[in-house]
Amino acid sequence: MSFSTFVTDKNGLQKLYEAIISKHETFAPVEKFGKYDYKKVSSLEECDPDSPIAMTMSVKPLFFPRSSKIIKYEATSAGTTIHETEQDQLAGPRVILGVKHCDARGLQVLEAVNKWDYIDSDFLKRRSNTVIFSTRCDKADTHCFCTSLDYDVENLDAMDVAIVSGPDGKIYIQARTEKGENFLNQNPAPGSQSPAPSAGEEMKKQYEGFMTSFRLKMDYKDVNEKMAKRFDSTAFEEATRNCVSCNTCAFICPTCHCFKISDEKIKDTGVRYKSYDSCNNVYFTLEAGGHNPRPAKYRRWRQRSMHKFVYYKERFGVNLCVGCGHCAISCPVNISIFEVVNHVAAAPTEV
Amino acid sequence: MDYSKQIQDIASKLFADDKIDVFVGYCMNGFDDNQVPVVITDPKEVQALVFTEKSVFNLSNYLKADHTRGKRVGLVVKGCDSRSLNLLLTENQVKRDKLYIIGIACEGVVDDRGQKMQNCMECIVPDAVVFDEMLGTPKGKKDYIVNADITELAAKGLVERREYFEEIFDNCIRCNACRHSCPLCYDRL
Ligand code: SF4
Ligand code: SF4
Repeated sequence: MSFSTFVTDKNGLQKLYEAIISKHETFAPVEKFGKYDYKKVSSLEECDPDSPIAMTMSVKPLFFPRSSKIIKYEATSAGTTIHETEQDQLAGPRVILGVKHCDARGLQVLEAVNKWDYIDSDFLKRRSNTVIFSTRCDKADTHCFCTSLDYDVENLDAMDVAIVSGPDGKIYIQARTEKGENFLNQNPAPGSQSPAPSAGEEMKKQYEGFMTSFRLKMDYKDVNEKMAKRFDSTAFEEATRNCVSCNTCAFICPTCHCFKISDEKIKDTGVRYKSYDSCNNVYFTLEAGGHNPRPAKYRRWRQRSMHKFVYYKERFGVNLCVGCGHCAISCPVNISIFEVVNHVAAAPTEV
Repeated sequence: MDYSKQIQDIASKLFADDKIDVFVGYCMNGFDDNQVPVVITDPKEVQALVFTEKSVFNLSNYLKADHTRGKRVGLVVKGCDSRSLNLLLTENQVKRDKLYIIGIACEGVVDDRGQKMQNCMECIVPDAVVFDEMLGTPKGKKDYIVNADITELAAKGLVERREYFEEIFDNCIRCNACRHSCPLCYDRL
C-alpha cells in the first residue's frame, strides 16, 4: 500500500498542529530548565515539536511509564484481596507530536519483546491507540549514529506521520502507516497539496546533506559478529572502567526495558509498583542469599552491551539500540556505547 | 592552567617506585576537547593523562569503586574535590596512607562551552586542602560566603520554598544517578 504525501509551509503545519491539539488528547515536547520532556498540551505555544534531539527525553515513558501501579491489595489475617488499579491514563486515543525518528524506532524495537513470551497488553494498547507524528533532524548531534543501525532512517514506518522539512521552506507531511493515512484523511492539513514532481530530487539532496553530518559511523553487522566472539574479552573492562554505575544511560534510553517490582504497604493495604531498573545496577542481580552472579561492573556493562548488540539481535533480528546517543549525552563521565562496542569489536579474540 | 606534563611525570615515578597500584586522573575523550576520568593500572598509559580547566569531574568518587578499594591509589584533586576527599577520610572510608594525592591550586574549571562554572566563581577554597604534592601557586582561602542563590532561597517563606523544590523535582525521574555520581553517597557499589 502506498501512502499520501502532502506539501505545505510552516504556517500550514502550525495550523495542522493547532487543529490536532484542539481536537485530540495531544502530547508534545515541553521545555523546562532547558530540557524537553513529553507532556500533555492544550496549546501549541506550550510545546515545541521541533525540539533539539540532544535536549529531548525519550517518548518511551508514554508507553512504558517510569513508575506505574500494577495492583492494589488488602492483606489481613482474613486473607488477601486484589483490586485493579485506577484506569490507565495512557491507554486512551491520543496523538504525540515531535517524536524524533530514532525514538520512534525505539518503540518499534521494544514492541518485539513486549509481544513475545509474556504479552504486555498495556504497552500494546498504548501503542495501538496512539498516532505518532515525527520530526526529522536536519543534522546529526555529537553522539548521534542512527544512520549506522539496522533501519532506514529516511523511510522508517515506526511513526504514523512523518514531518520532513525540505528546501525553500517547504514542509512535507508523509503518511507512513495505514493509521497515519486514515488520520490525515480525517484531519487534513490546511492549505496543503500533493507534492510538486521535483520534490523527490530536492528531498534526496537534503537527505544527503543530513547523512554527511554524522561524525560517528559503524558497520553494525561487523560489530554484531565480532562482539558475539568476544564475551571473555578484557576490552569490556578497559572501556567501562570509569563508569560510576549511575544507571542514567538506562533510564533515558529509548530501548532499555529492565524493571523492578516493589510493594508499598501501609497497615493492611498496599500498592505494587513496576518501575525502571538497569542491568548496570549492582543490585540488579543480587540474590536474597547474598550471591551476585554479576559482581563486577564490567560484567554488568558486558550484559548491557551484549544484550543490545548480540542477544536481542539474535532473538528478534534487530539491535536493541537506535543510535540516538542519549546515553552518551547524559553520562556524567562521557561514556559512549558507540565507543564501548567498537572498542570491544576491535579487540583481539584471544585473551 | 595546564599541569598535564607534571602529572604524567609524577604518575610515572609513583609506578616506577612501586608506590601505587592505580592512578586516577583525566584524559581526553578522543573526539573533541572534553575530558573523561581515567583509571590507570598500566604504567604505559600515563602518557594519556591531562589536566586543564576542562578537568571537571570529582575523582574522589572513584575511591568507592572496586578498582581502587583496598589498593594504593594516586589521585588528582582540585580544591573542591579535596574537601570531599577530606570527608571520606574523616568518615573512615579511605585510609590516608594508601593515597598519594596530587593537589591542585585551582583557577576554576569551565563547562562544555568554555564558560567558567558558576560554582568556581563563588569558590572559597580553590587550593587542595589535603595533598602530598601541590601543583600551581596557592591562593589561600577566601572569606566564607553563602552563595547568592542560597541566600535568596533562605529568605523565602516555608510555602514558597516548598513550591520551589516541588517545581525542581517535578523534573526528577528518580534514576538516583545523583546518588551514584556523588562522592559522599558511599554505600557500597
Ligand atoms: S543504548 Fe544509547 S544510543 Fe542506544 S538507544 Fe539506548 S540511549 Fe540510544
Ligand atoms: S550513564 Fe555513564 S556512568 Fe552512568 S551507568 Fe551509564 S555508562 Fe556508567
